[in-house]
Amino acid sequence: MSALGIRAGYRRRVRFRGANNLVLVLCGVVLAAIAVCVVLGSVIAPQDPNAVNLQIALQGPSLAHLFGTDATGRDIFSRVLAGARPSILGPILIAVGATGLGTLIGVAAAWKRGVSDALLSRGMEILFAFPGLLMAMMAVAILGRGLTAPVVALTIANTPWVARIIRSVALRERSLPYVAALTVQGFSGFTICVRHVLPNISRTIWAQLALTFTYGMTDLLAINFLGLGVQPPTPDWGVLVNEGQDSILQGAPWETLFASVFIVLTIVAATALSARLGEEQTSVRGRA
Amino acid sequence: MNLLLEAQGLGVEVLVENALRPVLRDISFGVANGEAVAVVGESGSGKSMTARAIGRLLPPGARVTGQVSFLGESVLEMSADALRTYRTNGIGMIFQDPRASINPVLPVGDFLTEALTTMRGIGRQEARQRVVRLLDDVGVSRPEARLRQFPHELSGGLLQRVMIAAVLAMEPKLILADEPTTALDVTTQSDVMSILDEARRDRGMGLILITHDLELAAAVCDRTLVMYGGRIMEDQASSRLHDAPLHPYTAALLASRPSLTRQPGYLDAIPGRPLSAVEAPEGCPFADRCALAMPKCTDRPPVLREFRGGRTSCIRAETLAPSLARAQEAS
Amino acid sequence: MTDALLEIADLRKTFPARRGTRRGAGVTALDGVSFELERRRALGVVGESGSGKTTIARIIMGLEEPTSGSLLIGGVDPRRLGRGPSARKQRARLAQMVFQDPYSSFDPRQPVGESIRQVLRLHFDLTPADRQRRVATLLEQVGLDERRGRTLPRDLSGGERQRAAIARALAVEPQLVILDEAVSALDVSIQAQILNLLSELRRQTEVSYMLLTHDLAVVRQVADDVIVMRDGQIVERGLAETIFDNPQHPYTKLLLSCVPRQGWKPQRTKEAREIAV
Repeated sequence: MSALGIRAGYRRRVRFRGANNLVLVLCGVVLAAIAVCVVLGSVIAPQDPNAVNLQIALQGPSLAHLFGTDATGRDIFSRVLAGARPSILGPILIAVGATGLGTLIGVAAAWKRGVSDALLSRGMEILFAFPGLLMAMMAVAILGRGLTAPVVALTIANTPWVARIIRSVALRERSLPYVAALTVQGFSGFTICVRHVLPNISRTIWAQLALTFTYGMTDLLAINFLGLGVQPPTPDWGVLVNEGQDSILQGAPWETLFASVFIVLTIVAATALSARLGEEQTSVRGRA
Repeated sequence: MNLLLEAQGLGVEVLVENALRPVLRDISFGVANGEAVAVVGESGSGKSMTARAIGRLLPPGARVTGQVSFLGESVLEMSADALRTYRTNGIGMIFQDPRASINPVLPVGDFLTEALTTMRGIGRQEARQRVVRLLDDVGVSRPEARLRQFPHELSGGLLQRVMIAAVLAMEPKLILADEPTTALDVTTQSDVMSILDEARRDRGMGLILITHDLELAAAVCDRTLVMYGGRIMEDQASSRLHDAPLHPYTAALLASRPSLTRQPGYLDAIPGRPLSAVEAPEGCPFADRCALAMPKCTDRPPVLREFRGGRTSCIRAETLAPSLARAQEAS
Repeated sequence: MTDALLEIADLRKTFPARRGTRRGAGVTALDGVSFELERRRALGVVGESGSGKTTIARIIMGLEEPTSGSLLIGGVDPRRLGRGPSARKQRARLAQMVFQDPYSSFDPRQPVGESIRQVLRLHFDLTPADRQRRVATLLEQVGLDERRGRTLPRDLSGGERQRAAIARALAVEPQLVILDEAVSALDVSIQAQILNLLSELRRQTEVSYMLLTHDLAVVRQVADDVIVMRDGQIVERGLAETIFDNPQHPYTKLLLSCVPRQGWKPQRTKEAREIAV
C-alpha cells in the first residue's frame, strides 16, 4: 500500500491564507496611521508647519527635523503631518461622492432596465468621454482655484466608472431567484433594492470606494502640483512635491521625497485593500 | 484475473477547514474489459470523489491511501507523461457540464481534432474525416457543418454528444462518465445514453457510470455499486438489484422513489438527510437512518464482503436478505 | 360560477428577437395555451426545456407580461389590480412560488425565519410576539424545528431550505402555490420527504398547487390533473391516472417511454421525435 501525500499543496494553501491576512493587516495599519495624521496632524506635529527660519533651510534629516527642512527652513516632518488632512480630505469627498452617485445610478439602471437603463447608461457613456483631469482643469478655469472646483469635477468624472461596475453587479444579483421571490411576495422595488440587493453587493461598493479614493488622490495631486487646487502655504502633499522641485537641484530632495513616499503608501494601501475586498465578494458566496 | 481498472482499499482525505477529513473509505472494486459498472449515490456519498480519484484529479492538499491500477499499472504513482497518456488513451472522461470542458472561443471541430492531431500525430485531413464519422455514429446531423459551429450554438444534448465523440476518437479502453445526462431532458437523456451504450459496446470499451439515478444505472450497466457516506454499501448485478437488494440502504432508496406504476399515497421516505462523507462515523454510516439497525452496526466499521453473488457491507445481511427481497416484491 | 381557481385563456408570449442572433422573428414561448385549475386540486405541468411551462408560471406570478391572452386567479385579473403597494399585496395573496434552487431563493444574509417574518410583517397586522408564533407554526407545519428558522440558508441542507421555502410561500396564505421543479435539485431520499410533505399540506390546507416538472414519476405521485406541454402548446391534458395508464398523444407516449425504470433500456428518440409534432 502506498500513502501519497500531496504535502506541497497543503503547505501552499495554508501559507497563502496567512500571507493574505498579513497584507490586510499591513494595509489597515498604514491607513490607520494616515487617518490619525488627518485628524490630529497639526496637533501632533513637533514644530509649527509654517514657521519660517532661513537659517536652517535645506537641512537633511536630523533628530530635530526628522525629514529635514525645506527652502525656507520649515520642518518637513511637521508639514507632511499637517498636510495629511488637505491631501486626504479631497479624495475622500470624491470617493464618497462618486461611489454614492455611482451606486444610485447603477442600482437604478439595473433595477429599472429598459428605457431608464438605456438612458442612464448612455448618459454615463457620455461622461466617460471626458478625462477627469481635463474636467478638473476646466472647472478651475471657470470657478477659480481651490479645492471645490476640482473635487466637484472629479466626483462627476469618476461616477460613471463606479456606476458601470455597480450596475453589472446589481444586474447579476437581481437575476437571482430570491429577488423574484421578494417581488412576488409584494415588496416594492425600492425596499428590495435597499434592504436586500445593496447589502449583498456591499463588498463591491466598499472596494469601489477605496479604488475611487486612489484615483481621486492621484488626480488631485496632479491638480495641486500644477498649482490649480490647494494653494501654498497649505502643506498639501502635492504642493510639497511641487515646492520641493527646486530644492532637488540644490542637493536637498527631502521635501519631494518624503511627500511622495506618503502619497505612494496611501495609494498602495488603499488599492490593496480594495482588491482584497473585491475578492471576498466572490468567495463569501460559497455553496454549502 | 485481468482487470481493466481496479481499486483496492482506496481511501481519500481532503482538507476541510485546515484539517484532513476522510471522504472515501476502503473503496475496492474492479471493472473487467468491456464491462459496464454504475456507481450510484446521493450527494456526499463519495461517488464523484471516486471518479476523481480514478482520473487522479483530486483537490490540492488531498491525501490518498490504497491503490488504483489500470491494466496493472498504478495510477496514483504514474509519471506525468504516463498520466497524460492514461487520461487520453486509457480512460475517456465525460462530465456533467460539457460547456465547462470545451473551449468556448474555438469551433467545435478544433476541439474534436485537437487530441488526434497533437497526441496521435494524425494529419488534419484524416483527423477531420475520422471525427465526421464519429459525429455521425453518435447521431449528430450534418456533421461537416457542425465542425465549424461554436459550443454556444449547440444545445446541451448536442454538445454532450460531441463530448462523447471526442472521447471515442481517442479510443480509450474505459469510459468514465460522471453524471453525463443529469442536466438533460429525459428524451435527450434516453438518446445520449443509448448512443453511449451502443458506441462502447461496439468498440468493446468498459464504462463506469456515476449517477444518482438507480433505474438509469440498472438499465445501462451490468453491475451497480451503491455508495453512501464515503463507503460502498452494495455491489451487485444490476438485474438482481431491484428484486433482491443486499443492503437496507438500497432497499430504502428503491422504496422511497415515486414510480409510474405505484399507486399515489405516502412514500416510504427515509428519515433524516444523506450523510456527507466527511461527517461519517466509524461504524456503518447509514445506521442512524436505518430502520433495521442494531447496536452492533455502529460499533465497528462495515466490511465489504462476498454475499449471494454480490458484495455487501451490511453486518446483518444474512438475517435481512429475505425480508429485503420480499419488500421489493410487495411494492 | 365555476369552481375554477385559475383560468387561463389563449395565453401567448413571444420574446423579441435579440439583436445579432440568426433568428429573424422572436422566440415564441407560448402559443395559445388555455386551461383551468379547480380549487383544492393539484395540477402537474409536464414538459421538457423549451416547453413553455416556466413562462406560464412567470406570467401567473406577474414576473412576465403575456403578449396576449387572459389570466384569472380566483376570478381576479392580477394585472388589473394596479401598481401601488396594496395592489402588490393583493397579487401576492393570489399566488406564490417555490423555486427550483433552494439556496438562491433566499437572501443569503438573512436567517430563513427572518425571511418568513418579513413577509408576515408586510401583509398582516400582528404583534411581534404573534408574528414569532406564526413563524414557529409555519416552520413546524413543514417539519422544521424553530431553531432551524434562526439559521442562515447556507447552513441548512437542500431539503431543509426547500421546506423553509414552502413555509414562506404558505405564510401569505395564497390561493395557489406554484412549485417550479421544486424537488428536482434534491437527493432522492429527500425528494420523498418533500413529496410526502406536499401530500400532507394538501390535506391540511385549502391551497391549490401547480407542479412544474419534467419528472413524470413525481407528477404521478402528487398531481390530480396533468397537462403535457411541448413547444409552447398543450399537447395532452387529463386526469393523472388517465394520462399515465392510457396516453393518447405521441409526445406523451414518447415521454413515458423515456423514463428509466426496471426493465427499461434507453432508446434513440430521433425518429420518434420527428413523428410527434
